[in-house]
Amino acid sequence: MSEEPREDRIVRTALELLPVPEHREGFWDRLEVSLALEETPQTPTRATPLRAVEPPPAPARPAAPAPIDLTEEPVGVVPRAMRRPSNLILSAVAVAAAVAVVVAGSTLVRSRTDDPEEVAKEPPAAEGDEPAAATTLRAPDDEPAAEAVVAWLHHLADGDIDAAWAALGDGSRTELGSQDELESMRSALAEGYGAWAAAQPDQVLVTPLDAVEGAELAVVTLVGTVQQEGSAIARTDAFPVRVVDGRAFVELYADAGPIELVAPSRDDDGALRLLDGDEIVIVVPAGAAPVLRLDDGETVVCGRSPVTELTELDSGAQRCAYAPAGGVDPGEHLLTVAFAADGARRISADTVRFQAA
Amino acid sequence: MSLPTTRTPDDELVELARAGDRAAFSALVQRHDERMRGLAYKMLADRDAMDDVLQEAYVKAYRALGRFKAGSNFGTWLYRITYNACIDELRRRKRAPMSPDDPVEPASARPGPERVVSAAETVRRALAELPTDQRVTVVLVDGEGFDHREAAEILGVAPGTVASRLHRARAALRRVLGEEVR
Repeated sequence: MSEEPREDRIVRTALELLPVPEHREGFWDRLEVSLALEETPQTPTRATPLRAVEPPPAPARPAAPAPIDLTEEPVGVVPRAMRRPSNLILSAVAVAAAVAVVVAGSTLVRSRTDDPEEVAKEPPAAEGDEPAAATTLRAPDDEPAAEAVVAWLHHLADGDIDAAWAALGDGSRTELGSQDELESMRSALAEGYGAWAAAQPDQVLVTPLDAVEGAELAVVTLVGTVQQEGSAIARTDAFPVRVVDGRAFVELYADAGPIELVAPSRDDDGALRLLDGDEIVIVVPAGAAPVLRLDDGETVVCGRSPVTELTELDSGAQRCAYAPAGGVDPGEHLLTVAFAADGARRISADTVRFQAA
Repeated sequence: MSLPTTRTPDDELVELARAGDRAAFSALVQRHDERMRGLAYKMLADRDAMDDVLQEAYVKAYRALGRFKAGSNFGTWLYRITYNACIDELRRRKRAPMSPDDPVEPASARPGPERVVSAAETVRRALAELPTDQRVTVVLVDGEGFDHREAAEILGVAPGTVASRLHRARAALRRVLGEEVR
């Protein structure tokens, strides 16, 4: 199979036809005036007049993504400006009756770095030792959902699209339409998700869900640092998984609709923060029964748990407010949200990292 | 203090700008401006709105420089701020901003052949038909060359969401564009 470029050639060609205008005259002067009214970010110095700088040649593609400290720039669920309930942008695909999802089973959290005993068991490196073998992502024992995700990530890293396709659930295959669609994303997937294959996550969080129509679903969250294009990048990725006859399949593409995060809210620079005393608020499509989980704590079904409140909004959406018992302690937290729809054939899931004040 | 040059790395310009050197900040944003214009114009399809949004985005970036993490990618960070400013503008309009009746504005005083203009108009209309989330996703990935992970960082969504939106956006664009761009 030939490797396709990460871009769609037809669409890319089309977008290149769309001209990008220059600024109106006076744009930079206006900006200079605006900036002059601002306090300097740090130590003020005498202002220097703005001047034009010749832009460098446009790169073939953007620079590698920067290392991200998720305490500052977490990967969020929803763009900041989409949080206002009155302006929801909901996917048309996310319709259909959502099925209630109830939490069942146990939870697994494996922390590589938080376990002092585990760290202590590691033999110290000695001079002259053979170089350590390359780190390889491994799933926790006896956790088929995590094993399925780990295997899928290795397939992506290896460029084995046949195996990656076979590891997808029915919902994802239906959504993609054909293996060619996955093939067309081969490079992006290998560099993106595939980067996990050479990493050892700090945490593997498995959140089992049990859909009412008998489908066995789970969310596997990997938290850690991966090496991507030469940079160490902090990542928090959630992978929906479907278990059929004891075998787990990745359902990353069977999206059930958007999960919009209202609180924690995103700063202008993308950092997610929950203010002191605020409750967690998300917006999901009408009919969904979202499951929420703070860190590795108890999962709650919004609208059923007494610490939650589910209210209908205009535009075919509903607002879920979650006030964990005892509040949210200051510091860094993980929030996992998931819901299923369309007879559990679809599932949306995400995990974000945020700072609570 | 020496003036920044076109070869001054972004991180050095950031440090200068944090210290109050507005020329350094200007150099930074002008270095990335063409791509920010690309994002804003394809999102808003209006030259004046593009300018207004970028004014807002650049001022916000200046204010937020203190929170910019050293070693991070300034371009990606500025993309995120610009994207958020575009979404704010769309929210203010409360509806899709692109009117099919508005002609495509040429990038410069040098218009292309009529056929190209026609094709560009088709592209603009096709983009306008997309939901905002799909529009920005396809612009970032197919228009600006970001991979799924990078686009996910900018948009604040999971990479799987990017892939899903991209799949739908491409399918919709292909349907509309058809032979237009071949």
